[in-house]
Amino acid sequence: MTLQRKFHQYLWVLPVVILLSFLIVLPLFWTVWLSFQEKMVGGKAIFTGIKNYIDILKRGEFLDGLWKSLYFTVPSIFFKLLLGLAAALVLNNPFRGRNLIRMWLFIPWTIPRFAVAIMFIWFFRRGGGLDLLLYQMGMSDTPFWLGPKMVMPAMIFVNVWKGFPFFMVGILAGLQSIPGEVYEAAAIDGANRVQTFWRITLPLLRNVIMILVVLSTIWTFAEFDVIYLITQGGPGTASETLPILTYVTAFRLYNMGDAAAISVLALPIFLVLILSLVKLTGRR
Amino acid sequence: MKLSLTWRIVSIIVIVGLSIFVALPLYWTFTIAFRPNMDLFTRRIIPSKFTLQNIKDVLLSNNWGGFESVPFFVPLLNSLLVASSVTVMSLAISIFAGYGLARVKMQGGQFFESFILFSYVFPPFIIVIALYNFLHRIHLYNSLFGLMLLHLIIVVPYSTWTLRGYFLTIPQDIEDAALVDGLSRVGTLLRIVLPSATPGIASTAIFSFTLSWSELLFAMTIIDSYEKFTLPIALRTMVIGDFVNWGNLMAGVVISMLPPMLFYLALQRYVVSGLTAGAVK
Repeated sequence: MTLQRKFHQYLWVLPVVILLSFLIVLPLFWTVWLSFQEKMVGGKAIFTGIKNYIDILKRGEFLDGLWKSLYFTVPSIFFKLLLGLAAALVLNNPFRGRNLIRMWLFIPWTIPRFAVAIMFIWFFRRGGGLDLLLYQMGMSDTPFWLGPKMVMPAMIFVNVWKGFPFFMVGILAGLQSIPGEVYEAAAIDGANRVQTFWRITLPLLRNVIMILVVLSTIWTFAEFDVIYLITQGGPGTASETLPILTYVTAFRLYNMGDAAAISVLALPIFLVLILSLVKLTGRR
Repeated sequence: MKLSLTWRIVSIIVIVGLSIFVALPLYWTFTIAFRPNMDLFTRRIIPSKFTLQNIKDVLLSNNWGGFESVPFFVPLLNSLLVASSVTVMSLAISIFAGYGLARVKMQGGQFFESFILFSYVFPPFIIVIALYNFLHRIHLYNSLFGLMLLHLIIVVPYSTWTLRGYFLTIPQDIEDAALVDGLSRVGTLLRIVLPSATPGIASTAIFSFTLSWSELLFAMTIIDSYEKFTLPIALRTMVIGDFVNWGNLMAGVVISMLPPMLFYLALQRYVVSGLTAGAVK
């Protein structure tokens, strides 16, 4: 193969690769560079070494944000998987109106995140949707859902509402690729429904579920729109997960250096998740 | 396997429970959008009457509930402009990259595939500060073109990855025949593959559109003046003030969520293809 032909092959991907290098890889390095600078918005950058890192670790805001991110992500993934799996298992059996129900349950996934956030601002506010429903059911003594105690569970609720359909359709696709003979064989061997599920269905779904979980963990850990629109990280810093903390530090406190340091510290978490996703999808 | 009674009961509970769960916020959104605002002060759950007043107010009146200097159709048009431009720009390069990754054997092809997947799931908040500074440097801060550029970060990896997956599912024989007959790779793509790949490309285009249409973080960071606002940040201004006009707000939400919702429901079968396709087979 001549050198020229070798180069020609790369022309196919060249525009995309150049564009993404400029818009993702280069900014990534710039972020690392910024994290070693003292820089306010509009101000000059001064090199200060690891001072920003020491500051955000000393003041405890990074670990605090990390903890909130975990507290938000882990239960969200658990409930999305649980509800998605339950819905998929039920929808895998034929019954009348199945397509209609599948469409209905899929709707939350189709609504833009910013619209979901606004819907839930009304739902969770004082005297809002949830309070009015509970009031009609005779409960008038309700907590403030977006107050310091309830705000994280409320955010998890929104995330599960929006995200479980993704698990549902993913698992459903996985279930439908399992050949019927497998189940027939199990039935002949006298396995009951529960045994079939644990011994056959779940192991065959393993790979699909792993991919869905890793992918959804990346998205949930990086969730910005919904939390920021509903709470701006508040009340106080009660819902300040890492993405919110980064944004607030950069654009409300105007401290670019600290914000860059926070993103850089968050980066390894995402790199590990993304690498395992690349590995999982490469396994055919 | 026969469906036992217990299984049926459990199924019904799951379906009814999840359906209500999904319905809760949707019910409020749609009823508030189409009922008189006065209803909310009387703690009514069932609307007293159906009205299109809120939709009219948002679309036509200057007093739509956000900033008053610009009417609501300006952000609506901005969003349409940005999302459709981004879709076209992205497709123009993604079709080639997607096809190249699916069909052309190149050294390091695996690396490029991983790079695209990496870009697809990479969280934008990590680089938003650098991008903000970058756009200032190249004088594209507070410009819709600058916003389009940033939206490409999200849309291009998505469409390249999805198109690659789609091209992989097309049978290869006709292409091989065309190549043997002396047609170039590019010729094969443009004359043989593209005409038969219309459904896949159309659905990729539509989902690209909705990705840009829904984008909040970049728009919030780099758009500064009201006449350049897109829908997500325009609706945000309606909830910032002391008084929220819920009727108008929910009418705005319904207007902005309907296009993506209808697209998705019409093209449901394409939704999971991309990433999970490899795992499911």
